[in-house]
Amino acid sequence: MLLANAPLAAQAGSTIRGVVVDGDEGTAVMGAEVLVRSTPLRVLTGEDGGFEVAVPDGGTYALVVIADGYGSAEITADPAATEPLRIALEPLLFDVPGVTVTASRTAVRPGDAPVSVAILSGEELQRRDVTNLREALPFAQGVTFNAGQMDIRGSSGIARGVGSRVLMLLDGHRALTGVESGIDYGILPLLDVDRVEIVKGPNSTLWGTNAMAGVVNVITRPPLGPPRTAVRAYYGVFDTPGGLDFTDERLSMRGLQIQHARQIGGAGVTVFAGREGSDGFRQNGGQERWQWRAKAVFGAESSKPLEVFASGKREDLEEFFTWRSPERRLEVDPADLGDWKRNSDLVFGMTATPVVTSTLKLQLRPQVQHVRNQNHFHDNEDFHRSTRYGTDLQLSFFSGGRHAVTVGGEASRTDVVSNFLSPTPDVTDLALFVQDEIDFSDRVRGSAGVRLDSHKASVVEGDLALNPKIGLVYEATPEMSVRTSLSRGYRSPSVSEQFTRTTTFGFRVVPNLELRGESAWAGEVGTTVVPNERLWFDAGLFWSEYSGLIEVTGAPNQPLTFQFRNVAEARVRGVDAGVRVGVVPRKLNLHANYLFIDSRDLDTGRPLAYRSRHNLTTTLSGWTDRVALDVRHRSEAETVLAYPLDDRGPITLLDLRLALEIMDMDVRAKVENILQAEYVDVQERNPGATRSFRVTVTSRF
Amino acid sequence: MEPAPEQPPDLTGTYTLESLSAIVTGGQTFTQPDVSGSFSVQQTSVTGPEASGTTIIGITLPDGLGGTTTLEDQGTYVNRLDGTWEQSGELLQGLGTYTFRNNILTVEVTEPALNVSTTVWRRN
Repeated sequence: MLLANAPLAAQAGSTIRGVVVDGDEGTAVMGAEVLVRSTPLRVLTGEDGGFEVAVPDGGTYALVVIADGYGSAEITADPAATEPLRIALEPLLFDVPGVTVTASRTAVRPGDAPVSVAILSGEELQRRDVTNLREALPFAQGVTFNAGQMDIRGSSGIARGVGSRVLMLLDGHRALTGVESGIDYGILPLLDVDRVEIVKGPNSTLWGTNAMAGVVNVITRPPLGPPRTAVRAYYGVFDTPGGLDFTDERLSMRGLQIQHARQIGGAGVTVFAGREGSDGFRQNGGQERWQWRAKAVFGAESSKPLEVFASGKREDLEEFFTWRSPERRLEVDPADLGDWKRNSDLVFGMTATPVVTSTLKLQLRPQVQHVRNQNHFHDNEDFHRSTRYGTDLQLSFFSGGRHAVTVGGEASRTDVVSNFLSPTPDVTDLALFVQDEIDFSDRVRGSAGVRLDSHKASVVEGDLALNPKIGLVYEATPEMSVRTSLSRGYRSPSVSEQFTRTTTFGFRVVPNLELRGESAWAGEVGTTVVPNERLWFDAGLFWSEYSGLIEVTGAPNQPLTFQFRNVAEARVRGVDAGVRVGVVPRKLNLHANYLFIDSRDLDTGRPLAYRSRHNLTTTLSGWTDRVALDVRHRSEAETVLAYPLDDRGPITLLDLRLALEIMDMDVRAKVENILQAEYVDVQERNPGATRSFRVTVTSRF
Repeated sequence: MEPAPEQPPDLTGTYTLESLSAIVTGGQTFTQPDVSGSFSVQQTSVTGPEASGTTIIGITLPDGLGGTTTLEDQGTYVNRLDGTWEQSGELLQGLGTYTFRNNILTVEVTEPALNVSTTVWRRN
């Protein structure tokens, strides 16, 4: 098997061979990442835990080995050694961030990058028994959700999914919709997820627009090993509180997903298809979704994998704009009943690494994304179709000494057809970036970079944004690292924000051709401490100054009309902390995140809308997550945009999870909102989800 | 020198709109005859420095498309001795300040952001 792995593109030289095993059991660890320090060389272990990596002759190399569920290992390897290395990884009591490819565009341990990184592993997603990523992300450190919209460290309020200040990536490819620049959770896979990396704070220096508050990168599993099939089915019901019933029908949710991975020729192939549906917990809250995805990876275990993928989705979503009345909070106004929209996506892309040597790596990520959206609302039949053609290119130079320089660029064009965008624009985005990662010593690493983004929509003036960053990480002891960074984030206006002319739910919206991008300067000081195998702790003090925030407000001199404008200057400060404790090893784990947000609109002096000062999530799990209790708490949002006198308060939700293995099948039961808390889901006059019961069965063979 | 009042003024009455400047007017100040409106206030209780009651409001203003539109709402209000004002309706809510002098009621709403406005009413 070792020899079956594709040899790496090294110049004349030697090969380091080894095997990665579980330190307790001695069994092979498949899919572990083996990084050669100070080079771009990176391989995955095969089914037997084996790896081989070709390196130039001369000297020894430091290998960093990382695998989910294990502590990382760093060893010195001598290519001249005749015996393969045997690297034993110590199993961890709980998941902690292992590797990130998002923080610096190269694979590093999170502690080696001078930014805050939270990671949700694929196993954790499975244990949390979620139907989409939106349900799991609130349990990531530093993340909250406002009425379904993702917020990192208080950057975002509610904009009905338009203009995300968080950049969503899927295997490094942009996964935002072309017109709204919103996150489309329906296109993101779940069964195939290896890990979700959440890089907090502005990361526009590397990732450009939308990475103003952070970047979320969903990394899928490389198709390694023998054929594998996973079938996942779930069924659940919503429990409507007495007095709020609006239908005699049983409100249910259901889903069936099938995934198969195997080796075909020289490629590992994964195909996925799924159908999900839900009546929703509220009137006019249903959805139906078809989703498929196919991925082929050539040379998955090598340093030069070539990945091609295609995915598609069609979903019908009913629209709940606002409740009918506080007494009939699960119902919509009769005029809104029957409003729905259809979203369809088709995405093709590839990630190619045509050149990898011990000092050089070239990577290309072209992608074509086609999105169709059609409203069937009582007051509009808005539609748009957008096609985005883009590519990302990066070239990394490793000096073999102190510096690793990455230069790159992005180019994309988005063509739009629509009946509500006035005028209907085409958008061209171009960017160049450069970053130097510097090893000042074994204990001190830094990075500095800058990126120039050009955003140009036809008809209107373009935006140029220069986004620098600088960061430093100091490994004070093997158990403790300290990081600090200062960076600028940027978000160009989305097509929706700039060009929409429509009437929706009685509100007239007009274009703002003067709209410009918004930006933020942000700084952070943080630390990660791992004093022993039973405790992991991370905390960051952060501070952001936002300029020209894009918000909905009245259009000047146009009565009863709204538009997106650069209206707010704001400051957000806070503390973002997470702790994982093995209370009783392998019996009882505690995982808690706390986020304190002190936000201020610098014009009004008021807190920013929809932010809660105190945000806490905890998970208490026992017997390797066979039983788990999740708690989500957030204090009352101090400011809202329309109805400040409505009853609202803190939100506290408890979920209970149980897991069993029956006939080799993973069977999970979940009760969400077990105490049937009735609450406003942050946005005024939108009810929070009622209690629900769900059973999920997953079979892997 | 008159002693300071211990209660807020009784605003009960029917008012006619004199002028309106708001987010919904696009920041413009509309006066009659461009806008018209009525505001009925009925005080129902007074407790120390705070009074409250019910409101019925109707405002007709240009819709920006050459026509007019009418906003109608009913709800409750609170006015306090310190000059603060709360108005809570089905459609419109606001927090801010008020003054009442010579039968002119001026309400300045400073929160929420989408309802920031200054409205001047004359009691009939």
